[in-house]
Amino acid sequence: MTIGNPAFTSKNNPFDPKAEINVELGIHETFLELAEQSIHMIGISDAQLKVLRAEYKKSKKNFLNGYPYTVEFIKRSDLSRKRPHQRAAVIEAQEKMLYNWNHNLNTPVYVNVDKEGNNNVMEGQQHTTVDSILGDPDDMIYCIVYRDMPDHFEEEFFLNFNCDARTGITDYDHIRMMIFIERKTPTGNSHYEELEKKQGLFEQFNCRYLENKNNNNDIACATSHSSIWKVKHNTLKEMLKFISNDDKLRKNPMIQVTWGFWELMAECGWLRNEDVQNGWRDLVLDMTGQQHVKSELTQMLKENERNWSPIKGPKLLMQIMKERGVEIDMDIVCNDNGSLMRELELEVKTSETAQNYVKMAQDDEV
Amino acid sequence: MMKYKSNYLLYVLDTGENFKVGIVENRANLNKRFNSLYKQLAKPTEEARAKIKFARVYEGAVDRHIKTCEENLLKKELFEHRLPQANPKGQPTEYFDSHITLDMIVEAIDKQDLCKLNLLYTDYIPEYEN
Repeated sequence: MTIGNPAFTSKNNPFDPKAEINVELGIHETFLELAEQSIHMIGISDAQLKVLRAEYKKSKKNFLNGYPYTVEFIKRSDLSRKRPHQRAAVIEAQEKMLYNWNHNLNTPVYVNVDKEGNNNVMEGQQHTTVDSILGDPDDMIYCIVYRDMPDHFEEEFFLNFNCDARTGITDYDHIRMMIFIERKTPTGNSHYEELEKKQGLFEQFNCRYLENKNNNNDIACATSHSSIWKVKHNTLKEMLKFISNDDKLRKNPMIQVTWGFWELMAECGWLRNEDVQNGWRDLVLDMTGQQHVKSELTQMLKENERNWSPIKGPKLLMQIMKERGVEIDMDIVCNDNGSLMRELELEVKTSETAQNYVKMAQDDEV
Repeated sequence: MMKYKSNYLLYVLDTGENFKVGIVENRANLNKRFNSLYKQLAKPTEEARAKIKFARVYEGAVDRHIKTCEENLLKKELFEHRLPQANPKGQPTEYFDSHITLDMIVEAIDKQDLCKLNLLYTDYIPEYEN
């Protein structure tokens, strides 16, 4: 069995710390190495962890109406300014940024109100908006105002606003940072705490999670869809293992309906059922790859005057696979819901597209 | 035995100077499509018009196979050779530059191993309707 994607060489493999690309970026540790050093290894006691999590959860609940900010207009003169020694430190940058003033017109200023009620313009935006020699003190400034935020909010915001936006940090880097942060600041959210292990699976099977942008929509063995992080660890493991070891499937990007189907397999208890795994593979390849499965299922539903449904899509795949000869108990798939079973049966029967896929399998057998 | 039931057809149009790849969504519309392409090309001489033909026409096992094949040819395999539109935006058309030969297109089609295609016509010239 080949593990991983042979298209990754020692030069371009994003997971090989010795690969040139990673050395240049200063990434010398793999995610697995990072994960091994994670919080569970640095001697935080269970009791301490519990207290930290409770504190974190409490601070999260204190958001105003569940929404962390309000939109308001505040007088320029009511916004805090830099003190002389702070100003001196940024004078050079300030001069440079003034030339770019036009870029900053009409963009909102982010304000964090501290315990004393000061309207602190968040780091990185002060130089050309609040302090600007071009502004009238009575100007009304368009502000997005945060109040009662947890500790370190401003720092986190600074990271998001200044670093992410300006340096092209990708989701991949985010996860890496999250692992670093998680060593010291447990989130109390098991979903995030499992991310390090899930990311480890991506490395193990040479798959990639990429930033969500058009150019990344069609990259082999990759996905940009963040809902993949909600897939249970075991399901993700079996899915990535299967896909990365299949010569044809690993040439496709993974899409939501891919893990939608694997989650359904897990729910039915068929995660390691080779007939179901291979039946899915054959059908997906007949649809010319994972990236086209959703549009084919949508077409089938359309032929039944129905819209796409991420819940129904994987079940419809099961029904087609059953009619293509894979031993599948639709009672289990539909959780003994008789009307759903009849509906799926009828949908496959009346859809020309679905029927073509059923016949294709029969033709192949002849 | 594999049956080819697609409603869609994939064609390679030979304009006499270069090639175009495209699909018709209904088999019955193939000749009509030829006529419309023929008109659009507006070749000035009888000799030039006589060279216009469907060099290849393929049917697929299902419509998806035709769609994926066309998509891969236009967006991946031969993307760099697509001629731009004659407007300031210059978006790529389905016509290729003169470096692309029929053999290169056929080779790119043959490479689409997940798309089960059957060659329906070679050098097909439907009758021109005014």
